Amino acid sequence: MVVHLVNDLVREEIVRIGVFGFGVPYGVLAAIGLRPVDITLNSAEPGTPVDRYLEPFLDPFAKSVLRGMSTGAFDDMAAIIFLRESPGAMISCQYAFELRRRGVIPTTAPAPIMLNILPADHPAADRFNRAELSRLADTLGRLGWVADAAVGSMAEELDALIAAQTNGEITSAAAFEARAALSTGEDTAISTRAREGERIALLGAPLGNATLHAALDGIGVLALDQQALDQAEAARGNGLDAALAAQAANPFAARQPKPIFGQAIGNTLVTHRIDRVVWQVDPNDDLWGWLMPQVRDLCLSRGVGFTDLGFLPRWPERADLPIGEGIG
Amino acid sequence: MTYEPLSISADAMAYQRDWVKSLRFQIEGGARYAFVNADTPHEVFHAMEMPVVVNQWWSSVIAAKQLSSHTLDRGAAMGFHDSLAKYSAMGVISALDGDPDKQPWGGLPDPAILCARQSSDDQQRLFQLYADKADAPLALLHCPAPPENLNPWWDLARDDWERLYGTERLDLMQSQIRDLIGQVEEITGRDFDHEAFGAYMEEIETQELIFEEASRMIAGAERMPVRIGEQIPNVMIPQWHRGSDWAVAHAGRFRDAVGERIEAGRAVVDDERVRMMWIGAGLWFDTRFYTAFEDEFGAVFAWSMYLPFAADGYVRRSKGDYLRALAARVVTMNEQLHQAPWANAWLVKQARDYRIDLAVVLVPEADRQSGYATNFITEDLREAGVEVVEIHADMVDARKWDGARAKADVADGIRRVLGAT
Repeated sequence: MVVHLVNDLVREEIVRIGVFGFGVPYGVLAAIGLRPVDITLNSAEPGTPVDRYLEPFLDPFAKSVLRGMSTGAFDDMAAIIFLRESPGAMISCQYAFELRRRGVIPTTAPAPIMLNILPADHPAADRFNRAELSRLADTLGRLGWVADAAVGSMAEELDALIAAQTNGEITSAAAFEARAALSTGEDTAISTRAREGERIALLGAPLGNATLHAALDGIGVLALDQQALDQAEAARGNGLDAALAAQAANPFAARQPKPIFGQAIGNTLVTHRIDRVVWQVDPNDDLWGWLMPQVRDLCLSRGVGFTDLGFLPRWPERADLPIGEGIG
Repeated sequence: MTYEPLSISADAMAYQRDWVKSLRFQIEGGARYAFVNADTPHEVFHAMEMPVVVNQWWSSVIAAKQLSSHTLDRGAAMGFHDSLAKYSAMGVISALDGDPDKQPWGGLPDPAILCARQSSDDQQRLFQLYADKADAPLALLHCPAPPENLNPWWDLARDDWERLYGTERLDLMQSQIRDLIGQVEEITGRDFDHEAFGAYMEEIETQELIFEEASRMIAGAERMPVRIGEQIPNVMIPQWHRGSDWAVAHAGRFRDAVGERIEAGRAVVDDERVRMMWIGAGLWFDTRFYTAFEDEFGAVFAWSMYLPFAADGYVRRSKGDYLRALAARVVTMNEQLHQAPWANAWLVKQARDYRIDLAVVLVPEADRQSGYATNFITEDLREAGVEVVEIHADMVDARKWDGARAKADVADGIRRVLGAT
C-alpha cells in the first residue's frame, strides 16, 4: 500500500516532454537523459481556434500539432520540442509561439521549444549542436524536467522492426503501428503472418497512418519504408559523439545537406531485394518531389518497377488510395 | 497630369543593361561565375571580383522574357510536380532543360560554384540538381532557427544583433562564410583582402542609410512622388551592386530626385485618394498591374518591401568585425520578411509610417516560405486600420495569373476604402 502511494507520487511528478518532427534524434536526446514522447502522428480535426491562422498549404502535421495544442491534447506535457530539421516543424514552432502570444493557444498548453540539431559534422556544426543541446537541457530543467540516466537511443528496437518487416515476419502496417507505439511509449501487439509476392519499397514523404501500408500489404510484401529508415538512422548513437555523427550520416534526413540520398536508396533497394518502388507525396509537398525523377530513373536503370501514386493526404483513407487490383 | 518617370531610372536601367552585357560577355568568354540565392552573402563574391548570377533575379529575367510557362511546363515533363516552388526553381529547371532557344542569353554556361542557404526545406535538393548537372561544388549554408523571433527586429538588428540572432548561430554562419571565402579563393586564385572588405562593408552601410532617407521622405510625403515600379529598379539595381561607387552614388541620386519631386509638389496622381502597399515579391510578368488603379480611383501603390528593407535588412553595424556583421546580415535575411512575429510587426509599422489605406498581399501557394504568416499579417494590418486584399498567385508563374480577377479584387478593396472615408 505505501509502496503504491509512493509510486503514484513519483509518477505524478514526472515531467513529460513531447517532440514534434520526423527523424527524432533519440541518441542525441538520450545523451542528456531525455526520452520525449513523439506526438508527430497525432491527428487533430479542423475546426479549432487556430484554424483561421493556418494557410491551406501549411504542412499537415504542423497543422495537426497546432490544433492539438489549442484543444488541450498535450496538456499533460510541460513542453514540446520542435525539430527544426524536420520539414514544417520550424514554421509550426513559430506559429505556436505566435498563437500563444495572441492567446489563441492557451497558457495551459505545453511550451514550444525550437531545437536545431544539424545533420552535419564539421567542427562549427558540432559546436553549434552541442550548444543547442545544452540550451535544451537548461530550458527543460527550468520546467522541472529531470534527466534520466537510464534512457537509451531506441535504435535497436527500430532496427529490429525494420528487419522483421523486410523478412516478412510482420506486416508493414503492423511495423508502422509498432514504431508509432514505441515512440509514444505505449505497448502494442504485433501481428505476424507469412507473406509472399512482389517486394515493395514505400518512398517519398512520411505518412501519418498505416492505411497505405495495409493496402500494399494486400498486394505484395511491403518490405521497406523510407520513413522507418529515417527514424532508425536518426535514433542511432550511444553517447553524444556517436549520436551526432549519426545525424550527419543519415542519408534519409529531409534536409541532409550532403548528396547521399540517391546512393543510399540505390544500396537499400539491393539490400532489401526490392522489386517495385511506390512513391507518394503530400499535395503541398515542397521537398521530396525534387527527388522523384532521380529515384524513378534509378529504378528504371536497375530494372526495378516504379509506381507514382502522386499526391496523397497524410492520413489517407482507403478511398484516397489510387490502388485497384494492383500497382504495376 | 501625365506621370513622368525619373530621369535617373533610365540611368539605372542603362547601367544594368551594360552590366548584364558585361556579365554575359565575361561568362561567354569563360569567366568563372557563381550561381547564388538572393539571401546568401554576395559580398564575398563581389569582394573577390567573381561574377554572380542571382537565382531569383535570373528567374525574374526568364519571367520577364515570357519564358516562364515554357520552363515550368518543361519541369512538369521532367517529373517535378506542380506544388513545388517556382520562383527559386525556374533558373534551375531552365538549366536542366538546356534548350538554348528557350533561355535568356541562349542559356548560362555551367557555374563554377553554387551557393544557397537552407532557409526553406527544398534548397539543398534544388541546388544539388544544378550542382550535379554543372559538376560544380555547392556551398550550402545551414539555417538554424533562433529560439524565438524577437521584436522589434528592425531596431535590434542594427546594433544589438548579437542578442537578436544569438552568438551560436552567428558563430556558425561566420564559420561557414570563412569556408566560402576559402572556396572562392581557390576558384579565383585571389586572396581575400580583409582591409578592403571592411571599407567595402562601410560603403554598403552608407548606401543603405541613403535608401533609408529616401524611404522616410516618400513615407512622409503628402502625395506619392514615385511609383513603386520606379522605386524597385532604383533600389534593386544598386542593391545587386551594393557598395560599389556607382551603387552608392545612384542611391544618392535617387534620394535627391525624390526630394526634388516632393519639394516641387509633383505626384504620381494629383488627386491621390488611396495609398496601397504591395506585400510580396514583384509581379515580374505583369508590372503594369501596379499602375492600373491610378486613373480610375486615384489609388497609388506607395510601398513595396524593397526600399525600406534596404536599411532594415542590411544595416548591421560592424563594431570592427566585418565578417561577423556580414553573418548578422545574412543569418536571418529572408525570414524577417516571412516569419511571425517578425513579418507582421514590421509590415504594420511600415503601413503606419507610409499611411497605407490598402494592403495587397501576394500569397504564392507553391512557395510555402513566401506564403507563411499571411493570416497573422492580414489580421494585424486590419487591426491597424488597413484594408487587405489577398491575391493567391505566383510571382513568376504566368500560367495561373488571372489579371482581370486580381484587378477586380483590388478595385473592390479600393471601393471599401473609399466607402469608409
